[in-house]
Amino acid sequence: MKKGLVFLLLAALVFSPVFAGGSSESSDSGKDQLLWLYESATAEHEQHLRTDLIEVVNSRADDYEFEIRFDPNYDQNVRTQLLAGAGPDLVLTAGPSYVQELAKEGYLYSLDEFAAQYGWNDILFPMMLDLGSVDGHLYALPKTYESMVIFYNKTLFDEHGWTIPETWEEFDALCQEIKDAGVIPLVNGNSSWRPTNEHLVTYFFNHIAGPDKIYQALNDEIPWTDEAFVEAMDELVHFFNDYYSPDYFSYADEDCLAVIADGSVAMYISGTWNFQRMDEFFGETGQDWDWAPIPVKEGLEYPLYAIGVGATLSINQKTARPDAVAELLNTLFTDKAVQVQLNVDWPGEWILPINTLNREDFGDKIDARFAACIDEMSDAINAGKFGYVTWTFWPEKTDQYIWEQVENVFLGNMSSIEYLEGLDAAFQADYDAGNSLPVPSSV
Amino acid sequence: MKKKNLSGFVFVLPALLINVIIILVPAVATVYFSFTEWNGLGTPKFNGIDNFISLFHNESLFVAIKNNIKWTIFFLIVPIAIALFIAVILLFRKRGRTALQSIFFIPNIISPVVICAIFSSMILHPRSGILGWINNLGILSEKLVNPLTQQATSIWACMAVDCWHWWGFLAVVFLAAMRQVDDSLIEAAEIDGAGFFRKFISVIIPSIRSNILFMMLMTIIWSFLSFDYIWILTGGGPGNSSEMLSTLSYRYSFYTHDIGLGSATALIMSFLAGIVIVFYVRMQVKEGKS
Repeated sequence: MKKGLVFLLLAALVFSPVFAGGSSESSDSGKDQLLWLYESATAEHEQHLRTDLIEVVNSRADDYEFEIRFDPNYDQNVRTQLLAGAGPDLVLTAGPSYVQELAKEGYLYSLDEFAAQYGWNDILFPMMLDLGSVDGHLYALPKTYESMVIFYNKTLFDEHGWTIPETWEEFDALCQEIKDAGVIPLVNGNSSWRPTNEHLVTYFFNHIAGPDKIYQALNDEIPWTDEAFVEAMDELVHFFNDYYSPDYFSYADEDCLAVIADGSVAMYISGTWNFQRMDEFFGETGQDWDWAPIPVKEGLEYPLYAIGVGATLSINQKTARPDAVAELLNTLFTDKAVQVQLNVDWPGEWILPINTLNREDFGDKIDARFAACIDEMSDAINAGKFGYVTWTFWPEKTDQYIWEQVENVFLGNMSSIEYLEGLDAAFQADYDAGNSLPVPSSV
Repeated sequence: MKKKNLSGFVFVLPALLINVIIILVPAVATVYFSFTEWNGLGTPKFNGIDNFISLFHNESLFVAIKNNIKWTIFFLIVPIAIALFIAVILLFRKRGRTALQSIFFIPNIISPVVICAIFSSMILHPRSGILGWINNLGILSEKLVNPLTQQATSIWACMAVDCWHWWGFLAVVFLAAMRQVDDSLIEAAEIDGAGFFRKFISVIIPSIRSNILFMMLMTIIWSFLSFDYIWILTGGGPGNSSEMLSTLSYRYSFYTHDIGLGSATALIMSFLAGIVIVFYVRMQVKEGKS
């Protein structure tokens, strides 16, 4: 049956360029050619990744050579190639839910032997190892971890004497004050990436309902219609209608960065991946930026970082050189010079989930604000005090419901409770089908 | 005779093979997958009509069907009417006709991605577009809003952008057909005292009827296949206000990785398009006989 299906797909896709990839071919130099298909990046970042990692690995290898290709549609292409028995040797996925699917179907090589050989179990945060594991075996290493923080226009804040508070009640008051001063308090936008919607759900769930409630709901101990989530969604609606820029559906990430950089909007709650772009936008306006943790509702511990993993690295089950791929992974996760240089050249993209990297390692090579953020997130994980981002801990179909349907809440087509009832139904279906992901306890 | 048939078949064989591989196989696979639960990785599990039941409990399906119907009706009327009107004007005004034909045809050769970028970033964007520029002038009592981001207007805005690139092509096709109309028919009508509209309605339109009907049939088919403009401009949003069956199918298949549900949606889309086409063709055949 499976063979027949593969034949059908092969036949249907016989002219498709996706088969340009392939694993472990020998080059003219006699070295095994290994492939890594990465997501799209700017030309500058592509070059940095080649120089900082690929060339380092290749220079140390005698009998293999890595090539990296950048593909905006890497996720679909990797999936198709794996199904056809091919694919890149080093498999990049968009997060733990993808790892679960691929590992369960036998497309990924178990990393257990390499983890033992290189001591990865000692250097990666335990919760990150859990996220890369399926049925007790390690299949993926989270490439970077991330959180949501407030990026704000410091020049504007200093001018008005505003500061980001710690409690949500004070934050609400600050937003009103900013609005009264004729400035739009907050901005976000989904025009280039509709799943951006779930960023809002993530921080309202975590910072209003709290990680404890989320943990219980993800473990099916309480329903998603719990009062705490209703309150979070009601607060989301209040903020969306009263404090957010009205151009949510027109704006992309670049627009949001541009409007906080020119001071027409005060704050942008976004992912730590945006550290890499702050200087680019603020450099154009000559204004200054800073960041702060998102305030929390009274009773929740501050600062709170909702932790997530948006990319993982695995070894293709079909590769002829799992050892070589493991060597690349080991270089990435243990070579401090490589780690520091990647963070210098591409900040926010390489926050490796390891306990061996700290602020001192970076010296003054990276922006102090970014270094402080890495430290704080790392401390939160070590202390076991963190929240959960939707794209990492929610099963795939439930996550799809979260970002797709919340637009109807923004637009007033659906009430908070109606949305949460739908979320509960979607989650139950995923939970009953065994699609839930490992959820580390936050104490 | 037999040998002749065989050699004919040999000539047809390459094209037939390509069609079987790239059309028939995926089409049959789509029918098969629509009755399965499959995430695109493992082995599909037969689940009967569960995907269809799930779809018919989903409000998005009905919004998408409604939008597909709106889209088809709009494209059967608006671009065809504009194209006919412009073509007949070009027929009677020979000066500058070639240049105007080229200008009207240009949008049709621009990539949809570029057209969408022009409209969403350079015209309708509140920050970088003409719309934002007008708003910044402060001459209007109320600010203009981006129609792509409003529930009530998003699907119509997508249609308008698609229509902008499409009507010029139709105009060129209709003008070519009109130029084949026998001049003596038009002259006879003029001698009988027919004005511009009488010639247009009673002579030209009936003379190019078969071309119009063919383009209408193609419009129906293409309307059900519409995907690129909606996906790039709105992604089916905001909410699901501009959802079409094609965007819904794509989202299920490549975002949720629910190939079964995506295939079932595609099957419904083909079924509905099939009904409309059969109905339309039968109507035309009937008319032709009478």
